[in-house]
Amino acid sequence: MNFLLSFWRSTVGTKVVVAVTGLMLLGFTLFHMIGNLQVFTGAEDMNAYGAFLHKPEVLWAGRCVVATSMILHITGTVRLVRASADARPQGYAKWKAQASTFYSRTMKFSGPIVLIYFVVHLLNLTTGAEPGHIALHPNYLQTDGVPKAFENLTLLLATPPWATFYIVANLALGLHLFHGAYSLAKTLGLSGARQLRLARVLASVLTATIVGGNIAITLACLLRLV
Amino acid sequence: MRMKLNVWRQNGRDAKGAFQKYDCPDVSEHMSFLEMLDVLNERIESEGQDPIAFEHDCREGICGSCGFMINGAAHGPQPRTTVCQLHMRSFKDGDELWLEPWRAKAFPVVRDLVVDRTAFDRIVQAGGYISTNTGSAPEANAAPIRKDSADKSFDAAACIGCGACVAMCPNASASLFTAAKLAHLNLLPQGQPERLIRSEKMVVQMDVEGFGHCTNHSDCEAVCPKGISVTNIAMMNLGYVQATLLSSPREGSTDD
Amino acid sequence: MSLPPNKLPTGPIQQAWTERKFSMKLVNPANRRKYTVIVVGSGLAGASAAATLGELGYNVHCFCFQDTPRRAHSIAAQGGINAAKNYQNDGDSVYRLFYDTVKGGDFRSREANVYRLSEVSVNIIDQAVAQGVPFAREYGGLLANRSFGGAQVSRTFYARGQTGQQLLLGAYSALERQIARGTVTMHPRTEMLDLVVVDGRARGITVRDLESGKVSSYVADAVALGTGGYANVFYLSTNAKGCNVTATWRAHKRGAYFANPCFTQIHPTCIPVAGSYQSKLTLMSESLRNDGRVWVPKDPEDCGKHPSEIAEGDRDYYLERKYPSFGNLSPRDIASRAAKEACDDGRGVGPSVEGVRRGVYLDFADAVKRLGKPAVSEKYGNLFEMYQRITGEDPYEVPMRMYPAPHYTMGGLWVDYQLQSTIPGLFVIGEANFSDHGANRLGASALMQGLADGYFVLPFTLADYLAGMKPGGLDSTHAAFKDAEREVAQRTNTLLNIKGKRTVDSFHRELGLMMWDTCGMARTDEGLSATLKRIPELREEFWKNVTISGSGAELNQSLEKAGRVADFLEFAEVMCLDARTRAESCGGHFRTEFQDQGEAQRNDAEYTHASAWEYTGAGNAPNLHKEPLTFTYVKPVTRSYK
Repeated sequence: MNFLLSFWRSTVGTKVVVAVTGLMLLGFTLFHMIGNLQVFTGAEDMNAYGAFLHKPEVLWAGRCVVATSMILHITGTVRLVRASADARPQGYAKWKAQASTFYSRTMKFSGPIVLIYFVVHLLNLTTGAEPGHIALHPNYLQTDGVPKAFENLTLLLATPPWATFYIVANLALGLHLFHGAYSLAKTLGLSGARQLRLARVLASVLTATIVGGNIAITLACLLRLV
Repeated sequence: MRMKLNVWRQNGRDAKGAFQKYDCPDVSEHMSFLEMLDVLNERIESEGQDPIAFEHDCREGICGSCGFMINGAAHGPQPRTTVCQLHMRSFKDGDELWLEPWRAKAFPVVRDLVVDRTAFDRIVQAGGYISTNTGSAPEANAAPIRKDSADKSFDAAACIGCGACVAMCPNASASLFTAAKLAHLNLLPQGQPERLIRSEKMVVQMDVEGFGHCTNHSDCEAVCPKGISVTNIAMMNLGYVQATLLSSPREGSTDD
Repeated sequence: MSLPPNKLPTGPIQQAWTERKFSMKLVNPANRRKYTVIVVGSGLAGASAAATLGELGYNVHCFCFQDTPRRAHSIAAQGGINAAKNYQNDGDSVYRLFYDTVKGGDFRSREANVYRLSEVSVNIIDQAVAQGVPFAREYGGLLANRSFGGAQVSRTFYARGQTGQQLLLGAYSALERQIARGTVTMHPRTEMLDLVVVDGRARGITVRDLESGKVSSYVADAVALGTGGYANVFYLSTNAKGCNVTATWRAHKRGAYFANPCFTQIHPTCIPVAGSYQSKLTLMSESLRNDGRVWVPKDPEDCGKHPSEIAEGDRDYYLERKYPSFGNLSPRDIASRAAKEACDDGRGVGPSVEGVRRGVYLDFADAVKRLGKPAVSEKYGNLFEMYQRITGEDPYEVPMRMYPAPHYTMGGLWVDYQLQSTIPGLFVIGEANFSDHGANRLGASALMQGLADGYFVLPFTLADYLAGMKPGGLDSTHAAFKDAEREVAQRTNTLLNIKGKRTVDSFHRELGLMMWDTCGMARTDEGLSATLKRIPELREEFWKNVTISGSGAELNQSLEKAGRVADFLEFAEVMCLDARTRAESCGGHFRTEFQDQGEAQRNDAEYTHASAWEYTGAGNAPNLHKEPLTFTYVKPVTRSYK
C-alpha cells in the first residue's frame, strides 16, 4: 500500500485527492439542493424525504461518505496551502495577477467559509435530532427522533438574520464551487480545448444551479412564499 | 524618458537584500530594457559602485537566461516577450518600476536579480529524455509521426526554461515547466516506452526540489514568453495518475 | 614548431572515413571509465560530445559559463540543418552536399573533412529524431524539408524558426541523462581560463567558479573545446553577449595554432543599430529577401525623409541594378557589401548613430500588392512581429530597415582530420575549430558541423588518441596546474587593482567598432595596418585604465567581461594580421584591393592554403604556417552572380 502513501505525499497526488473529494462534495451539494427544492411542493413531500434520509443505513452511509470526503478534502488542502507557503518563503513587494481570478485566488478563504457554513448548518438543522443536543434554531421540531424537515427549514429561514447568513454563505459557496469545479476537471486530466470549454460551461451551470436553488429556497422562506 | 527604478540588491545567497532607488534620466524609447540597465550599470560602475547583476545572454528571447519581475509581472508588461526583447516604449515617461528577482525556495537568489535555476536541470535529469544512445537510432523516416502530434509536441518543446512560470505562480509551482517537458516527449511515438516512468519521476523530482503545486490559476501561461499552454499540466496530472495508480510497478518507481 | 601532419586519409574520398574508423584504435569498454575527458562548452558540439562520450563509458567533465548547459548559443540558430537524405527525390546526395559545401567555402576547406561531414549528416537526423526533436513534418507524417540559402535541392530539416533550440535540447537531454547516470559531471557557471599542458600533452584546465570566484584545476587524459566562435570581437554581433574567444585564445597561447582567423561571416539581414547604447544585433531570417526589395534613396538629401515621401524614381534598388540575374537574392557576402557601400556613400536610412545612418530598406509594398497582405503575413508574419517588437515599426506601413552584422566565424583553432589541435590531447569541435567551412559557411551547415563533430567524429578519434596512452598518473598538485592557477589568480587581481576610469564595455565597443570598420565586410591593407597599430595602444590603455568594481570572490559580471575583452584585445591582432597577409578576396574575406568590378578575386596560385598562426610570446609577431589545400574532386571555379 506504499504506493498510495507516495501518491498522497506527492503534490499532484494530493491535488487529485482534493479534486476527487471535491467532486463528491459537489455531488452532495447538488443532490442536497435538489432534495430541498421539495420545500416548494409542500410539507408532506419534504418530511417524507427527511424521514427517508433518516433511515439509519441511508443516514450513516451518507455521513461516512461526506465526512471522509471532507476530511480528505480539508487535510489535502491544508497540505497544499502549507506547501505553497513553503515554496515561496519570501514574497514579492509587488505582484500583479496576470490571468488568475478573484475566485481562484480566494479558494483558501472561501473554503473555510463553506466549512463554517456547513458546521452552522448542522447545528441549525441536524444536531437537534440527537437526544441531549441543542439545535441552533428558534423552534426545533421532531417526532420520534425524525426531524420535521419542512417546518424546521421554513421557520429558520423566515428569520432575517439567518436568511442573510445563508445567502452570504451561498455566495461564498458559489465562488468556491465555480473555480473548484473547473479546476478539478483540469486536475483530473482534462486537456482538450473543446472538453475544457465544456467543463467551464458545466462548472458555471452547476454553480448557478446550486447557488441559485439554495438562495431561491432561502428567499421563498424569508418572504413566506412557502 | 525618465525612469525611476527600485532594484532588489542582494550581495550573495545568504546576504540580506533590499530595494535601492535609481534615477535614469536619459532613457530612449528604442532601448531594450536590458540596454537601459547596461547604461545604468556603466554609470554605477564609473562611480565605483557594484553594478546590478542580472542574467542575460542571447538577448533575442531564446536562451532563457534573462528574466526578473517588473512591477509584479514576470518579464514585465508585454505578453509573450522576454525581458531582453522588452523595449522601453512599453513604458511611460516618469514611470516608477520595481525590479525583483524570481522568488521561490527552489530558486535561491545568487546575487541581485540572478537566481539559481539548476532545479530545472535536475527535473530533466529525472526523466526528461528519451534513452537512445548515439548511433542506435533507426532511419529517421522509418516511423511516420502524425503532424498534429509533432506540432503539439513542438508547442511544448518551445519552452526556454526561463522560470517565469515559477516566478509568477502564486504557489511557486514548476508545473508548467515540468508539464511542458513531459508533453514534448510523451506526445511523440519515440517517447512512449518511457512515458509512465518519466511522468512519475519528473513529478516526484519537482516536489523534491521544493516547488509548490498547481491550483490552475493560469498566471504561468499568461507570462510564458513562448505561450506554453496550461493544458499540458492536465496531461501531466493524468500521466502521473496512470503511472502511479493504474499501472504495475516498474523498476525504479517510487512504489514498494 | 612546424605544422604537424594533417592526417588526411588517402585513397577514394567515398571510403576514406569508413577506412579510417576501421584503422583507428579502440579503448576496451572496461577501461573507458579510467579515462577522464574534459569537454568545455555545452552547445551542439560540446553537449553532443559529452553525452556520447558518457554513453561510451568515459569519465566526462563538462563545463559551461551559463547557469545551465541548455543556454549555449547554438540555441539561437533559426533556419535549419542540412542533411543529404534526398527525401525530396530532387537529386541530392552525399556527394552533392560535399560539392556544394566545398564550393560554398570558396575552395578554402579540406575536401576530406567536408566529405566526412556530408556523410555523417544523415546520421544526425536519425539521431535527433530518435531523441524526440520535433522537426517539421508533412501531413503524411514524414519529415519536411526546405531549400535554404540558395541551394538547388531541398535538404534542410527545420523545426519552425527554432531549429537550433530543438537540436540543442535534444543534445542537452542526452547530456542530462548521462549526468543522471553519473558518467558526466556538469560544471555550470564555470569558466575555463587556462589550458594545462604537461609533457607536451593537454592534461587539464584551470577554471574560475563564476559564483564563488574560486580558481581551481581539473585533470584529464584529454581535453575537447567546443567553445564556439569569436564574432563578439566586433562587440556588436548576432552572437550571445557571453560568446567569447577566451578558451581558444588561452589554448592558443599554450601552443594550439589558430587557423584562418580572418574568415568571418557577415549576415546581410539584421536589425540595424538604433543608438550608441546598442548591446547586440538581432538576425532576421534571410528568407525575407525572397519577397522584399532592397533599396536606398538615390539622393543623400532624401535620407532623412519618410520613405513614403520618396518617389519611385528617386529610389535605388541597388541589388537589382548591380546583379540583374540574382537581384535581391544575391549571396550573403555580396548583399552585405553592397549595403555597406550604399551607407558609406551617405545614402543609408534610419536613425543616425555617431553621425552615420546605417540601414537599407527592405520593402514589402510590392509583395503586398502582388500577393495580398494575407499571403505575405502567412509567410513572414512572425518575422514582422519580431521586427515590430524590437523597432516599434510596422513593416506593412514602413519598409523594414536592415543592415549586415557579424554572425559566424569560420576560422578557429587548427585541427587535423582527427579534430586534434597542434597540442596532443587537445581536441577542438564545432565552430571553435576551423575545419569544414573554408572561407564561407553555407546556410544550415553550422548545426550540422557541431553535431557531426560531437556525435560522430570525436568519439572515434578521441578513442584512437586515448588508446595509445595510460590513463591518469597525474593530479592537480602538479606544478603545471599550480602555475596555471597562480597565473589566473594573478591576472584577476591585476584586473581588479587597475581601478581606472573606463568601463570594460567602453573598451570593447571601441575595439569592436575599429574591427568592424577595418576587418569587417571590406578590408584594405591600409585600414588593417592602422588597426594593427592601434590595437596594442588600446590594449595598453585597457591594462592601465579599466575600472572593475567588486572583488574576485563573488559573482562579478564586470570581471568576467574584462577577462574576455582582454583576450579579444590580443586576438584581434592576429585576426587583422591574417586578413592583411591574405592578399586575395575569398568567401567572407573581401580585400578591396582584390576585386574585379565588385567581384571577389581569389588568388588560387598563392593562397590555396589554410593559414595557421603560432603564438610566440607576448609582444612577438606570431609565426605563420601554411597548410596547402588540394582539390581532387571539386575543381576551383570563380563565383559570379552578375
